[in-house]
Parts: sequence; C-alpha cells; structure tokens
Amino acid sequence: MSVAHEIEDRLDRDVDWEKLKAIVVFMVPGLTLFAIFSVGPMAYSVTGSFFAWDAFDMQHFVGLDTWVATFQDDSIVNWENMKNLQYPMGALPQNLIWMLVHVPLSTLLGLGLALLFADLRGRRILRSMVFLAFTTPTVVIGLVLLFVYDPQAGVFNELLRTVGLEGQVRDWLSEPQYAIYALIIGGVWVQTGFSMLLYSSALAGIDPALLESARVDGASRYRRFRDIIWPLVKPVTAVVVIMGMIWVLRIFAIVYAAGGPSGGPNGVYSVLGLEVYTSAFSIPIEYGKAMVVALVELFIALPMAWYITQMD
Amino acid sequence: MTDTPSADDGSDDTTTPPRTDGGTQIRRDVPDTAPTEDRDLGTRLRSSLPSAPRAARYGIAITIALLWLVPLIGLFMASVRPLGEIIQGWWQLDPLTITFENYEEAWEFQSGPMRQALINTAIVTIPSVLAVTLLGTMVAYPFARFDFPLKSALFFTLIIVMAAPPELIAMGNYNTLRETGLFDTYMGLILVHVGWGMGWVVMFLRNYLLGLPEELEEAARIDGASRYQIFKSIVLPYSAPALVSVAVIQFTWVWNAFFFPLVFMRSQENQLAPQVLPLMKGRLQIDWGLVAAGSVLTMIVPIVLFIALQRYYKQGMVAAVAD
Repeated sequence: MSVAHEIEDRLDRDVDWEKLKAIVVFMVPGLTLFAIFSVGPMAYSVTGSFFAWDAFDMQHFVGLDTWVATFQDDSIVNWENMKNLQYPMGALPQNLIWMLVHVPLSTLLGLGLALLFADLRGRRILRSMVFLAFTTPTVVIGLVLLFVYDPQAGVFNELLRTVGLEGQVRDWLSEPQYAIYALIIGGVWVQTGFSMLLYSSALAGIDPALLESARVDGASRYRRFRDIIWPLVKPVTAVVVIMGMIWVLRIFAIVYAAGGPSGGPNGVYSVLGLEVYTSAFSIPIEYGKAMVVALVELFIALPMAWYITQMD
Repeated sequence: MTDTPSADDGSDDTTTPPRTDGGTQIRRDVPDTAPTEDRDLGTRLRSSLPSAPRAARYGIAITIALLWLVPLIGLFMASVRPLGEIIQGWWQLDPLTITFENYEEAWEFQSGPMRQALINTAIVTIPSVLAVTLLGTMVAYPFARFDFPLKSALFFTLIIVMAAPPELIAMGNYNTLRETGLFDTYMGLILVHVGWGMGWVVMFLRNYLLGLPEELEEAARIDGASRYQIFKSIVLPYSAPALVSVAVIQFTWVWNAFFFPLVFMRSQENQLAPQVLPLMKGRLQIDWGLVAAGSVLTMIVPIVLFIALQRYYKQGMVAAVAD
C-alpha cells in the first residue's frame, strides 16, 4: 500500500468529521476576533520592533537598532541619574522600583488583613470595605490620590498637620524624589484588597479542627501560623506576588490621571505603559520605540504567567 | 456552650464555615434536646460578649476597614460640597453645605458631558461583555473536551496573550482600525475589547469546564443529541455561575478601561466616561467638586454591580488566578 493510501485510510478511520466540523463551528468566530485583534497586533509589534518607521508606516529592516536606541533613551533608562539614585531614573527602573516596594507591602498587608478578619462576625462587610478600591476605575484612583496629596484640600497633609509636622506639608506628587513613593502607597491601598481576597479564600480552606487541636496541645499563636497556616497559604502567596507584579507592570491610568501623559514633572514617576503611549501617539511618533517598550513589558511578565499556569 | 453558636455569616467562601482561629468553640454535633436555661440572663449576656482581646481585634479590624475607605469617603464628600468648603478640607463639617451643583456641572461638562460619556460607555461595555462571554464559551467548550490539531499551540498563545500588556496590541490595532474605517467608532472599540478579553475568558472557562463531569454530555450523546443541543441544553446551563463571574469581571474591566478608549476614541462625542475624568482637572486650580462628581458618576455602575453580584465577582477573581 502506498503512503498516500495509508494516510487517507487513517484519516477516514480516525477522524470523526462530524466532530471536527462542530469544533470548527464553535471555535472559528471567537478565534477569528482573537487572531485579528490580539495575536495579529502582537506579531505586528514583534516584527515592527526590528523595522524603521515613518509615523504609522513600516519602512526598512534595521535589526536591533531600535532596541539599542531604546535602552539608551533617557526616558526609558536614565543611566546617569540611576548612578546618583536620583529621579527621574527612566520608566524601566521606576517600574521595577514600584514592583519592589509595592508587591511585598500589598502581599503582607493582604495576608495580615485576611488573618485579622478571618473569624470575625461581619467579615464579609469588612472585606468588601477593603476591596472596594479595587473595583473602582483606576483613573479615579489616580484622581483620588491627587486629591489626597493636595497641599490644601488633601487629607494626607491634614494628617501631617494634626500630628504636628506642619513643615512637611507639601504637594507630594510634585516632589521629584518622593512622588513615586506617594503613588506606590496609593497602589498598595488598592491592591491590598485583592491579595486579602485571595488569602481569605485560602484560609477558608483550612480545617478549623486542626487549629483547634494545635491550640489545645499548647501551640503558640506563632507556631500555629508557621506550622499550619503558612504551609497551606504558601501556594497562594506565589499567585498573589505574581499577580501583584503583573498589575504593577501594567499600571497606566493611575499614573496618567495623577501626572498626565508625561508621568509627573520630568517623568519622575513615569512607567513603561505611559512610555508606550507617548511614543506611539504623541508627536514625535516613534512606533518602533513603543513596540520595543511594550515587548519589554511582555518579557518581564511572561515567565511569571508561565509559572502560574504550571502550578498544579 | 450552646449559646455561642459558631454561626457563619459569610457563606460566600465555601460550604463549610471558614474558621481559622481556633480561638473559639466549634460546634459540630447537633444536640438531641433544645438547650436548657441553666444560666440566668446576666451570665448569658456576659458570656456572649467577646473577650477583651477579641473585642480589641474587632476594634482594630473596624478601624482599618474604615481607614481604607477614607479616600473614597473624601471623594464622595467633595462631590456634594461647594469648592470653597472642599479647599478648607472635606473633613471640616462646619459649615456643611450640601449641593448637587457639581453633579449638574459634570453632567453638562463642556469638553465631554457625562450625560453623553456614560451612554457611550454603556454602548461599548454591554455588547462587548455579551459577545466575549458567548464567543468565549463556544471556544472554551471544544478546548476543554476534544482533541484537535494545534491544541497546545492555542494553549501557549493564550498564555502569551494573558501575559501581554494592553499597550502591546495598541499599535497594530490602531493601524487596523484606521484602515478599516472603524477608528473612533463604537464598533471598533467593541471589537478590540472582545478580541482582547478572549484570552482570559477562554482560559477561565476552559478550566471551569474541565472541572465539570463529562458523564451528562456522554449520556445525552448516546440519546442522540447533537453537539449543538448538548452545548445549549447542558454546557451553557451548567456553566451559568462561571458565565456570570466572567460577565461581571469583564463588565467591570471594560467599563473602567482607560487605555483602549484613550487610544481608539478621539472625537468628543464618542468619549467614554473614564476618558473625560482627567480632562476635568483643568489647567490651574483643580475644581475638586467637578472631578469628584464625575468620578462618582463613573464608578457608581461598577460598584453597584459589585455589591449586587459580589459572590460571583469574588469567586471569579479567585478562580481566575488560582487555576
């Protein structure tokens, strides 16, 4: 029997044509949109990052030129200021600093609040109160932060006045060296609700009898946490940390609302997303640079997303 | 022990009461007889009050939760008071003038009236949520149940898209929409939202469907039901809770979305509500009342939805990342 015959034979035997038709009918409409509006543009960005651009039109192949130029661009990485630890350091280091400060804080606070609320009456209401900020549009969050740090009408400066630190009252979001931390605190305020929610649902899965018997056996609060609670919430911590990092990596509206498209005075709290937007859609239009920066974001996020899907 | 029931007020988490402290009693067996009045009222009242450390925990918990709300309370207070009083601090309650002028002003805001912006947001949000939920289920069903060529390629593509920032697809879509004449139209933005949402929706529903038993579908198959009938009368109804979760989360996401409208909607009459808010800041002195009123108008819809459907929202959030 010839090879062609054999293949034909196998196709007839193994392939359920009716089933294959059903699969196609089910999947084609959704996957078409997915291909045109998600996968296609991503491939376009990957390709485009190696080409020269005239506004929105692709020109000739330039290899890694755009990549190299992007990493020498002061708005992305400001090597000089980084050496002196001065802001603006560029969007990439600033985004990473944001991650480094934000993620541990929101994770620990989330775990703390989840433990605190775990067995209280009315915990649903308490949790919702903390979670509410997470359901608020991020652009509103940015404006709220602007309001909170306002020198006159802001509640944060009023707090400083109340505790006797009048000298410290200022517009925190215009202070080049502090502004990013002021915003990070706002980000933590929002994201703690999310990590608390994940931790709460993990804590709910712990058998209370286990904790009870440990208590009866005389295990201290700390021992009970370390030996019973922690091993069970550890996998959630990985998810909380990674989701926090991805959330920070994608941060855009908060910064835009608080500091405009430039990301604060001189871009002192600019982030990668903002650089993509300004490169691509404000004059001068630098499509190639925008694509490189967006791809840098993807490269940072990809291993983390991969790790999450590989967890059991 | 009988008068301190471990009643669970939050059945939103699991079927078993989520107790973790071990600091209080656990009632597992139902007694055969009703509790007898073996103690007088005073003793019972005293023992049903929380102990001192527990009361302290309540105090701390409530304080923190309220503290968390302070910025949002401030926003709300600013939205109903005149600018003169906001500048003095929204926490100053003397004098307290309640006014709806800020809302009227935001409603008719000249470079993007909320009246129009909110309608635009609804026009974009509702169809994109419905479409992504339906089309996403249709993709997820064969993805979870059958083998087909390129299945693992699809899986990896989904992961990459889920990891990608929305900025990565902005440039390609900008050019696509320009060329097809869909730029700055409702349809263009809806299509981008549907295509972009497909990634996580398919992954989420696939994981959900993998957890559903296949027996029912097989039985229906043996009874001669077609694959379309099975999808309509078994798969859809059984995945209803997951579909509600998807719809609620996607609704919040699309409604709150700022980046896509900013890029794909340019003309003033097409602007979406989140887009208008930064414009309200103005140039010099920020009119906090106006900004706050606009913000409250924008966030009221997702917050009401969250309060009404929080069970689905939270379940979805947990499932979406836990899988």
